[in-house]
Amino acid sequence: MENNINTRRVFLNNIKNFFLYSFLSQFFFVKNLKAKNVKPKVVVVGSGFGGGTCIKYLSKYSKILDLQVIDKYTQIQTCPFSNLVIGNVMDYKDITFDINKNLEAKFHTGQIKYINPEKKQIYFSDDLSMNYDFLILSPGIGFKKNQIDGYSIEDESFVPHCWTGNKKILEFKKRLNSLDDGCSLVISAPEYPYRCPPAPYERASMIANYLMKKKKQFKIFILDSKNSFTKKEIFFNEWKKKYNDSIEWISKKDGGKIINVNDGVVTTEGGLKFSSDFLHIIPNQQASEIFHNSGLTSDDWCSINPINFEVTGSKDIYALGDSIDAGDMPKSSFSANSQAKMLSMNLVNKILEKDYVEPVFLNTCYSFSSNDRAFSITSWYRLNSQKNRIVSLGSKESNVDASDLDRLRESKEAHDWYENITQMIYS
Amino acid sequence: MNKNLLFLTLLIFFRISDANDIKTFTIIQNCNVCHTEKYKKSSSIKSLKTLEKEYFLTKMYEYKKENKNGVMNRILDPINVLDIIEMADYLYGE
Repeated sequence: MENNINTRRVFLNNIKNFFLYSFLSQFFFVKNLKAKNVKPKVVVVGSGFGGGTCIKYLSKYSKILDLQVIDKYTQIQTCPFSNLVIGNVMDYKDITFDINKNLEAKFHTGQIKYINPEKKQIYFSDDLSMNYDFLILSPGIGFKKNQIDGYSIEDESFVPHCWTGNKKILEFKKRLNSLDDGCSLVISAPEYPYRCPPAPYERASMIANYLMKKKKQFKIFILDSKNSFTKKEIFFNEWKKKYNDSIEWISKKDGGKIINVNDGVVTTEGGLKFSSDFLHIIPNQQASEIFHNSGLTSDDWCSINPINFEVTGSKDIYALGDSIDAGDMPKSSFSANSQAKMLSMNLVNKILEKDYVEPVFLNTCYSFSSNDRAFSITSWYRLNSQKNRIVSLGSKESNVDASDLDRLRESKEAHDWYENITQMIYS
Repeated sequence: MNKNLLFLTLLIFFRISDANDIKTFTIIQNCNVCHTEKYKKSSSIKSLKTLEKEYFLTKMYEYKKENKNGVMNRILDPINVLDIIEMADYLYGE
């Protein structure tokens, strides 16, 4: 009996000592950090519109955090306005920017293989690794594989999709330039959700703009995996006005979804067959590979807490931009910029042990139908009453029958927005 | 009090949105997506900080009142007048 009591006493003592030790070590650890002025290491992955905005915002807080940046490139080619490069309205150099290294941050160039959230480690493809206290992921978009029989993203015999920022846009232009008079083009539009919802239709417009300037006869078929798309009525009106019947849209319900490609001939779900001189497939999309390789998503997209953008179930990892499920918000550079500001603001609040602020977001998405005609869609977003989803306060578009002057004015506003935002992030 | 300010004051009683829990500076952070502090002189989109308070209020009032469907008219649609006044106070002082 006495033995039992002694054993219990020793056991209770051990528990007491354990908690006392834990409390004191934690207390002295925190004190030590503060005394040594150790700053939390914040690592931002990606320098596009989302990551670039975080870097710009957080670099102003270098006194309280150690900011580090990882990107696989040293230059950024923006996806916004890339269709204008295809349409020969802008030069490639106009959408290419050096990553701004004149900021209070350390920059690293490298390809990330995966992240270990438990160890708080980032592993690179060259077997190096880096630790973090807080990680912000803004790596852009990923692509689904094996969606269309006979098509592979890696197969370079296909026209490059040009849905990410890289120099393949020059190859795209070269192929476009080689088309003869009377050519036929097929563009496949992906299923929702994907990066920049109106972009496939803007791309069709800018290809038409380019071919028309070259005085070539052409026909563009847009074969869609959807039954509708954003700003549809405006695009229809613009196509009729600018390109007669040279652009034709075939919806999913009319059999437009492509299921097979063989020897340059596409077959759709509805049994339609198209042979074209220029087959441009825009693949279905999902979160960037880094999320899938790191177990940061259970389905196509990364789930986040919309108050602070922390990845669901992964402490101290934050994500924004095209790879996340942002509720009603579309995947656009404007959205990523807005999310980046709210994320950065609340991360600083966390580091300073302040309360989170309720985020609010804005998106305005411009599209061009020709070099001097643009239109847009706008919406504010906030959290729902349960604070677990971003909801739209109602989106509004430009008028379908807007005047030529209004279209011109919006094209000027679009250019000004682009110049301002790229200047803000990259200069 | 000029006509614009009188109009704004009257509209205070007709709040358009329910944005009490949203701080003014978070709204302004979104305005700054376009109205960046660094901008080209030729840009039609100026930094809000370079404007005068009265000019800011007058323009915002115009955007809300005029029957147009421009980008700014649409952006201001769910923003209520109290928000606008608070934004002006935040940007230019009370």
